[in-house]
Amino acid sequence: MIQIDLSLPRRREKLTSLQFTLLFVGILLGALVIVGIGLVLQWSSLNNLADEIEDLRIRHDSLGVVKVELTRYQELCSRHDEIFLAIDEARSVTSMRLDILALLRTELEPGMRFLSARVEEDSVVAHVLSPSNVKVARYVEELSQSSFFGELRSEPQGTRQGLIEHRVSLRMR
Amino acid sequence: MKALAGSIFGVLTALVIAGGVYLGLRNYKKHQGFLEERRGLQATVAELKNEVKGWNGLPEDASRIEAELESIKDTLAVLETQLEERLAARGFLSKTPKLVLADPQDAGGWTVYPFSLIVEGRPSAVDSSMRALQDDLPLVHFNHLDATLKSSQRLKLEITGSVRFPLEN
Repeated sequence: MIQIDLSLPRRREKLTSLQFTLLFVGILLGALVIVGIGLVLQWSSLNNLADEIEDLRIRHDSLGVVKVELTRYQELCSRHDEIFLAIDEARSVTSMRLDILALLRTELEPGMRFLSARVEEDSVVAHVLSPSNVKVARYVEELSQSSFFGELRSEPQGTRQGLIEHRVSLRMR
Repeated sequence: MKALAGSIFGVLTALVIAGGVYLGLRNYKKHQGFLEERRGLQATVAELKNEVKGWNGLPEDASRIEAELESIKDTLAVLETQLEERLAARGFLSKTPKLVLADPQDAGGWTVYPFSLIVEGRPSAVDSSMRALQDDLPLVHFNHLDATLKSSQRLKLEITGSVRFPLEN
């Protein structure tokens, strides 16, 4: 049996001292260059900080001015709306109460007499004199046609001056 | 020999890296205040930008709104000084008009003057007088109305209410 060794003879290459030294000098220089570049970049970025902060301050101040203007306008609109809304509301409520008071008298049937009325925030109580209950019923019916009242009730309270006194209670819508 | 050279260069390389890290950290710490200031400013600027988004300067109606507001405030300020006489003037129908004006109270940005007023006269005259009072004092509120017919021609009206004025007046 013949055995043939086909493997190539390995030649062990050894670095010379000079090559070894050069390799380590290279590594050292590489590290120095990388660290140096890193530090230069960091310094440059930190040196720009002051300028960047100054720019941000300017931007902040100008936006602050815009915000003051915006806030002032919003406050102005809000105050304007508040006052005019309050005027409209006051006018509407006051007119409504006077209208109710007028309505209580104008809707009286012939022969009926108005005695008194108390108009409150959500209700009205009126006292009227009527020759008959039918007329009071018609009076209440007429009042119910108006948009002011949701619930109406009348109760006889006895007689006075030969007429029937009625207490008419009305609840606002 | 090689081992000695390797050790020396290894130590030197480690020193370079350590020195770089030390210098980097020292620089960072030195500028930490600035970095925090920048972070804070960036956050505030972003917030402000968001708040004023869509704002393109004062709208055209700003001067009109301001003028209207100033005008109504001036008018109301004058009315406030004349409040008692204007309320009392509405009692001209009665022989003995009765006005009670209470001390003002501050409520939610308004000065509120509670009052009670008794007027007596022809029903239509009382009605128009009260409507005129509403024109005179646009912020008058009638809380309760007590109307009593004294005779066929005379209505006695007792009003409990308040008049409001914006607080800055």
